Amino acid sequence: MSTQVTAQRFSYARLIAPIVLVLFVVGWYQFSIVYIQGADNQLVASGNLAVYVPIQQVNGYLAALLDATYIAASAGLIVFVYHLAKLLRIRSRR
Amino acid sequence: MLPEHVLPFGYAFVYAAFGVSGFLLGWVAQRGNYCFVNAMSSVFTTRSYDRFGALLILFGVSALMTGLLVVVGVVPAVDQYYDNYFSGWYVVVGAVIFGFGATMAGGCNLSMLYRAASGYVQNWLELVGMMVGTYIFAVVIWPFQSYTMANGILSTKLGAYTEYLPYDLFHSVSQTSVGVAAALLGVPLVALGLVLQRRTRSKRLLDGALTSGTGISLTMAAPASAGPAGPLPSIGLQGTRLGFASAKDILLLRRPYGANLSTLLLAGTLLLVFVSGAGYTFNYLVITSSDGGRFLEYILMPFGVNLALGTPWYNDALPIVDPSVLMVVMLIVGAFLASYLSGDFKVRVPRQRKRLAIGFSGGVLVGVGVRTALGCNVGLMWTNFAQLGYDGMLFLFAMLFGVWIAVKVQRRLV
Repeated sequence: MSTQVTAQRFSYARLIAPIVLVLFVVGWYQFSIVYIQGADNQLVASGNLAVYVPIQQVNGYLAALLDATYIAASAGLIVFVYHLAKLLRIRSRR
Repeated sequence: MLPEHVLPFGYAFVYAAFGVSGFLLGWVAQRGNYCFVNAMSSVFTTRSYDRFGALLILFGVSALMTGLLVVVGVVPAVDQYYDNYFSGWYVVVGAVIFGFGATMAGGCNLSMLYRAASGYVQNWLELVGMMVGTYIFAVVIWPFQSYTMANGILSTKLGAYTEYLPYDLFHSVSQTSVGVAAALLGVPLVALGLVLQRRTRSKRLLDGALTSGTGISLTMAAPASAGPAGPLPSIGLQGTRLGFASAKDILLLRRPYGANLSTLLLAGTLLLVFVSGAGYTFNYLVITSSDGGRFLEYILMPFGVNLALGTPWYNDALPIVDPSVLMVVMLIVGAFLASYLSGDFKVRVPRQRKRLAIGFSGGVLVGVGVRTALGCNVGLMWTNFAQLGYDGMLFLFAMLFGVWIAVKVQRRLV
């Protein structure tokens, strides 16, 4: 198989998708810190304790989410670098 | 009685366990193409019971394993029944609507998420429709439904141990009664699942033989004892009986998981949260509330709208965050990585544009249905079998009915 055909078959979606994953998990973590904590505080301020979540739980969520974010973002970056190297190798052969 | 902690590691550990469980759930469901709705609709379309049998095995194994953990004293009985739902008209009505909507949209709550993460645009729209449906439920149905629940109109009023089969059958929550109830519920389900799978595989073998011209000899050769249609125990474990080459292919993501291997792995994810979440939270798999309700709530937060402040259901029944949030997020991550690394990932837009509209409207029905039923095929049906309740059975039959109607409608539409 010629390198040209291989290069044509390289899907750029495979390069973009891991970046989307990294942005998703990092964005979710940032969102949780800013908005979920804020919404929880709003509930206390308005006296609605039916759906309020105690601070220990929110902290547990954020701690676990931080670890999950590191792991998922690392996995996404590794996959991205792998496919980037693959793409560069294909291009250098052309 | 109040729930008791089984593990002393605190909320960070509980959330992490739910995250791991969600990741595995997404990964395994994607690799096994595990869909409750497809399993049920194939019963009516192709008369295939292979996947439906796997579902029954999943429910049976879940009931047996959680029951066993209570019997040997790892998990107290109170942690098994404490969060049992109310039961009533809404479970039946909601499950019918859900079964119909999910079949039309092309995915149950579990498959909607892993297919959306694998690039299926129709399932993206189903997810959006589900958010809209959840909002419709919250403002239109929930005020009426909560009134009937509070007043016991076609509804039970207590939940917890009153919905617990060991108590309903023996008026006791002792370890013995839990063990007997788990066996009474789980063993017939597993046996029925195995029998249905055996029947389908025997039929498939026979059909294959007939079309290949060896039909007569195979018909006479007692199919129940030959090859893939062998005796009961080996049929049930067929999906898990792997050679080295097959195991290698599965590990390297070259080959999808079989229905029964997926079933056992999924049951494992349920047991993980059952033990780790005991005493802290709803210690079962639950994905409905998060994806349908919370995602809409979360999307609106940056615009300064907090549904939890004034909208019915959001302001009295949906905590702002719980372990299922991390479960759903990690389910999406797990399903995405599984599809991406196996080469399955691709953004797929259906050729027929009307499929997009059907996906969205089906999603609306899914949202209305699952919230009316107080849970989805995972959070209520599967979970309730593991809780040793009876709502799961109600949901199962009602959902089958909804799926059957949808199959009829789809035949008319085609």
